[in-house]
Amino acid sequence: MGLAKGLIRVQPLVSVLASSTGLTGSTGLFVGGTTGPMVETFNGEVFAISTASSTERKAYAGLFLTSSVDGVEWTMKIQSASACGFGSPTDRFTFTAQTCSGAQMATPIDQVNCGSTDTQFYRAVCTAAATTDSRLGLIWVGFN
Amino acid sequence: MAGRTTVLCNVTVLVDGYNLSGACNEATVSYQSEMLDATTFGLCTRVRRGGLTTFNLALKGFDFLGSACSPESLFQPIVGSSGHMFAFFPTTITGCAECGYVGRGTVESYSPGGTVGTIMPFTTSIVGTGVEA
Repeated sequence: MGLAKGLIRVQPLVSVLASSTGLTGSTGLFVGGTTGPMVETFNGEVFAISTASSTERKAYAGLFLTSSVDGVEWTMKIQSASACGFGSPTDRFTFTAQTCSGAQMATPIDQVNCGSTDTQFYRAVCTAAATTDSRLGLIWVGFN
Repeated sequence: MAGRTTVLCNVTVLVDGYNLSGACNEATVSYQSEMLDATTFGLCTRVRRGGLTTFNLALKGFDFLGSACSPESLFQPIVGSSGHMFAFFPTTITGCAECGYVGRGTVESYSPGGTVGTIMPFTTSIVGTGVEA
C-alpha cells in the first residue's frame, strides 16, 4: 500500500529558502546562496529518476513561494527529457503564474512510465517578468 | 544497517507561502492506518487489520504576535479551512537526493499559550484531506 492519498514523498528541484538573492541565478542553480548573475530565466538542478524501469507510476509536482513581495509575475514549469542535457524537453507540469507568496500543486500525471525515454530526467524552469525581482521558494517533484 | 542517522537541526517546514522553519522546534508528519478490530468469538488474542490511511502534520514552536509572517498570522485565520499545502524536509536541502513530504490538508487546530515565564509557544495540526491536488 502506498502513502495515504494526498501525502507525497518528494524531492526538491529548486530550493532557495534562505538566500539573500532568492530565486535568481544562472543555469544549474539549486540551493540558496548562489552568487550567479541575475537572469530572467533559469533552470533548476536536473533530477534523474534513480531506476529506469517499465513500472508506471504517478508523478506529482508543486511549489512554494515564501517571499512576500508582490507584483512581479513568476512563471514556473517542470520539464522532462530523455537526457540530462534537455535537448528536446517536454513540459510536464505548468503552474499558474504567481505574483505573490503562496503554494501550488499541479494536477498529477497518471501512468508515468519511468522507463520511457522522455520521462527520465526532470528539471524546473523559472521565468520572472523582471530581472530586478527575486524570490524565495521551493519547487518539488514526487513519484508514487 | 545502511543509511544514516538524521539529527533534526535544520528542518524545513513550509505551509502555503510561509517558511516556519525558524519558528518551530518540533515537527512531526504522522502517516497512519486505522486499526480495525477483526476479533471473533473463540479467539484469545485481539486481531487487528489495517484500514484506511490518514496523515497529519503537527507543529510546535514559538509565536511572534504582531509579525506579518508569524504562525499566529498564518494559522489563526485558516483554522477549519482546507486545501492548505505543507512541506516537511528533515534535513537541510542540499540537492535532489534529499527527501521530504508534501501534503494537502485542513488546519485542525491552532493553540497559542503556555505557562508563566515561558516564551509563548504554539501548537498546530494540519490533517490530511485525502485529495491529491
